[in-house]
Amino acid sequence: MLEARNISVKIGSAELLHDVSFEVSPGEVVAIVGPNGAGKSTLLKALSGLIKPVSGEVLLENKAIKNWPRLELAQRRAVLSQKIELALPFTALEVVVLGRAPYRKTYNHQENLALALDAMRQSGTEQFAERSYTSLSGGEQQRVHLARVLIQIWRQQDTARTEERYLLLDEPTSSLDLAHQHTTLEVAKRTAAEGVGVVAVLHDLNLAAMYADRIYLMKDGLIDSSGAVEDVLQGDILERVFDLPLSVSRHPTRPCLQVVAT
Amino acid sequence: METLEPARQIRNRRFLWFVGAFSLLVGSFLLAAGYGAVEISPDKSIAILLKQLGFDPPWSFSAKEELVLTAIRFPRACLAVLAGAALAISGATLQGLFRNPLADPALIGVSNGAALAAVTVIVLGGTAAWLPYWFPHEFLLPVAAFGGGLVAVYTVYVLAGANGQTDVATMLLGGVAITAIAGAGIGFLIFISDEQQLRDLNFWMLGGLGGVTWKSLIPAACLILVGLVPLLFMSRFLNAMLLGEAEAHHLGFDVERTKRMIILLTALATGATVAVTGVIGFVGLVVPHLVRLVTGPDHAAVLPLSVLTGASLMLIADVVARTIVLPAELPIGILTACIGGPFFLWLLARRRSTRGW
Repeated sequence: MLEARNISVKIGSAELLHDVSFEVSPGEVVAIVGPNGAGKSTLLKALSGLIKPVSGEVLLENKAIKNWPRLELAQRRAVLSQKIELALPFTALEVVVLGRAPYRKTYNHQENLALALDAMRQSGTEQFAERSYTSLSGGEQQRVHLARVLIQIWRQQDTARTEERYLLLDEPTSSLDLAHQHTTLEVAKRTAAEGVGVVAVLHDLNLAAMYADRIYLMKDGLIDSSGAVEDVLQGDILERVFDLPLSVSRHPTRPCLQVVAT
Repeated sequence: METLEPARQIRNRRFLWFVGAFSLLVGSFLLAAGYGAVEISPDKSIAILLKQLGFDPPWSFSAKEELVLTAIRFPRACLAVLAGAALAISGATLQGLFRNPLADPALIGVSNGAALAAVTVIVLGGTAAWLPYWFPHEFLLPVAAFGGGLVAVYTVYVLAGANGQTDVATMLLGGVAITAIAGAGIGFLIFISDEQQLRDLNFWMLGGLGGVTWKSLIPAACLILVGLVPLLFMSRFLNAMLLGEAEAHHLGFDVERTKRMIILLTALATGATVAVTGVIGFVGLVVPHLVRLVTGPDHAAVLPLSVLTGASLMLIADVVARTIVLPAELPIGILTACIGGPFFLWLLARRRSTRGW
């Protein structure tokens, strides 16, 4: 389990997270939703070990994340950040191969290339392999990075189930068109089915309703409510958090909920 | 596995570049050894080199030729190789560290910080009687230059590198400020120095490889190599850093520690170089760019090829510098600035027009 226990995060005098608890287990997709400035990305950064909470702690398999050896931690959890600008023009394939950096002690170039190309097929970016990263659109870049974080936690079949692995996605669909929003989250769902715990910060409540197993709803640095999708996505809760009249109904064709403004 | 074919081609091509760069280095070394007032053909240079290494020379040569090579040309060529290599790899790693292709040891003030410290030693150090008896005196100048370079690069890094994003304008202006401060310090030292010191200082300000002996080369060479060799192993970290500090952290690198290490090593390589050669600008800017035009930005290729290319270009530039205005010698820093200055302007213009590198 990857969990945050009563963490508070401060930058300067501003408190970005206050006494937040969170957990995710292997095999499930957990969505973090909430209005702008709610602290969603901050929570993800704390879970990844990038920023340290002033109180409380983040634990991976009951061991504080700061006590994990760097390389081992990097082999267990990958992070897709929001916007990544590359200082120099790598090809898309070279960017994806960087995902294997945590395995630098047992580096195998051919194997890494094969993994990279496989991941690029999954994220629908194999046609960009030889293109310069800087020439790609924002959405294409985002999918290249999806391939990169996938191979960061890929394993041989035999060890896949014995080590807990986590994929943290910070607004993975923010620059994607509709079709690619769904391909990306389907990749996330499939990765979870292989035994990886997936955490995704999402803006679109309907995407969260469709793909998440559980939802954390945040506001003003606090967890407002959390639990199964049906328990959190309720009209009165959402109206209060988003300050907007919203109505929740059954999706016309799929077995999930949908949220519309009224 | 037909999909992996491009990767194999890249590897083969990379091997050819290494062969090419290495041949260029050997060729320019022999050119630098042979060209000058006393002309020495490459076969004689090789024979003399073999004799120095303890082998039987296969060809004959005169004693005068041997003296010119071993006492003057070889140390000078070795210094050119080390200086070119050190400045080029410092430029390449600083560009990776600052995530910015405009970084160069001279542009961001490292070389001038080192120069101020070295000039201070030249003018005020005098007999250096205040040194503890165990400190080898030959190391005083390179160690002081290293200290000066370290203060400069650290200042610029702290100024420009807040929040993991380097602000280019701050970096370059920080370099301008440090160059100005160092310039004021050097100016003051010139003001209080005597005539002999003044001549030494003049050489310093313009940069040059002349007058080097094995005795002055070896201490600096040790320090340069201590800085240069570990930098060659930083390619994975610098590649990850191209994605940003947060991503490098997520990929399992100890970002803060490695950054500090790189700052220390580049200050060492650059500072020790400046201690012998004075300030030679733009090598660290131009060479990595030339290499990247051919190889792309992968540091696994850029770092070693910058070393080989920087060394070759410095050898060639030195041959030009000491023969173009015979019997006098042009300070090599003037030459590199003549090439590097316009190149820098061209980079700036291209950046304005395309917002890319």
